Amino acid sequence: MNIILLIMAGISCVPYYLKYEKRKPQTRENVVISVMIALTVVSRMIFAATPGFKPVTAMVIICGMAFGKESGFLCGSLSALISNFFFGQGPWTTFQMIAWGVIGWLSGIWNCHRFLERHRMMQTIFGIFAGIFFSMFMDIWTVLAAGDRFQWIRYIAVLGTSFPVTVEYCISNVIFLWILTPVLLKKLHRVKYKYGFYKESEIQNLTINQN
Amino acid sequence: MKKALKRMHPLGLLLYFAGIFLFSMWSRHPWMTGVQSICLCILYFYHENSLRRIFPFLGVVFIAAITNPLFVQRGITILFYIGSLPVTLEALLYGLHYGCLLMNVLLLFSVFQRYFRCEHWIYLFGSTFPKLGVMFSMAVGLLPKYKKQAKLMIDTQKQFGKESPIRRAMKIFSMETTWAFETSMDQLDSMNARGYGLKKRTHFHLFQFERKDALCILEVLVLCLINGYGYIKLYSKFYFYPMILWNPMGIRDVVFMIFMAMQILLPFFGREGSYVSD
Repeated sequence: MNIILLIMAGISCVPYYLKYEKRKPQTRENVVISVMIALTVVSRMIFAATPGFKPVTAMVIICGMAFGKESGFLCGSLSALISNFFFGQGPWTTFQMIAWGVIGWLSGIWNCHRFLERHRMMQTIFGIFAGIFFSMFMDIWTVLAAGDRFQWIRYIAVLGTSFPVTVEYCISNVIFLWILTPVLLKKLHRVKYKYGFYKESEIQNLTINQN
Repeated sequence: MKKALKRMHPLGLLLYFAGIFLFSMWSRHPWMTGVQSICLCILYFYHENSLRRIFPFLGVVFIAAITNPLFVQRGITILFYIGSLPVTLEALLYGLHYGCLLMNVLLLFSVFQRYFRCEHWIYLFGSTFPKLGVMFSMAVGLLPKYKKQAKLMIDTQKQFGKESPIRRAMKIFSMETTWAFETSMDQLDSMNARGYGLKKRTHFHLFQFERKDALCILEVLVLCLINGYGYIKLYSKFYFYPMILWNPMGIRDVVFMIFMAMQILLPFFGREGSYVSD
């Protein structure tokens, strides 16, 4: 087991956290993100019976879409850490943390100018991409667990055997994104409006769009 | 022993588990891995009283032992051929050793999970990441609340008549989200009203640093130093390929193995004692 890579995976989360701490976030952001984390963990618990078919990735993507890239990263990584208190901690926790965190971060970047939430096609593409990314990232952990060194032959073999799971991830992501995005985003925009996340100019844009 | 671990200061607990984790992951020598396997099994069966629980871990060892010869063809003792693929004894033994190492890590984490709870993480990292610590503890606190509310909503919706379960689940999820954000608004108001985020505030923690904790940390560190010396000097190199060379076991090896066993079984030596809160 390559311990240096494992520790690197853990350490690579820290800069994101430090950046968030340094920004001195307001209390309302903390509250909203912790609510999102709790909802994500609950959603993972509800679907505990079906391995692989889980709405966690979709929830993280929606959190990134609604509240920006930093919140997306925090939601992904912390919900991985907290839900593993119930699903079992292990060396894989750090890999899950960084994989989900990066998915949330990317969805925040893609959704600038509301690019992702307007087009259903984009959501489909991003869901498939997130499923493949998560599977490939977790396969790195599998290879590290199975052998002393990282070997490309083993990695390709593991990728081949995990192909059905990858497809399952992609399908579940797309289904949950299609179902949850319209329902949740409406609510989240209302929450943002109520908590005062928007600036003045953005509020005027919002009212124009609705008309 | 359970009490000794439960009452330990988070720093001591983290050092104890991290030390074993590092040694068991870095282990290269079969003797050390064997000692760790035996000790961790003792630790595991102290908590789990059924022998059946060990089978998944043995499965991991078995899979590692079988898959390694398929990928690695080094080694000089050829046992048999699968097609044109030679299966060597060295690769098989290496896989076995590696599987034991993996089993050690998994066993360690299953014990770690029993003692290292959310409060410990918040205590240790709450001062370096204050905002994250608050979010972490808030999310953990919200979980049972949400579960309770979801159960209430499900029971109520069931009384309203028949509906397809998927439709009902979606409805409840939607209601739950709305409810969660509305109550979080109250929480935010009450946090602000009580002066969250102001300076000059003290924190409440469950743990206190006492003399026995200092003693315990010292013990862990001394054992880590001794075992680290042994690891660097003697046990960091062991070659499985192309052939295995065994050195006969001397007195020195036995001493170091006893030290390794002591490091893992350290909480057994701790005094149970009686506490005021018991």
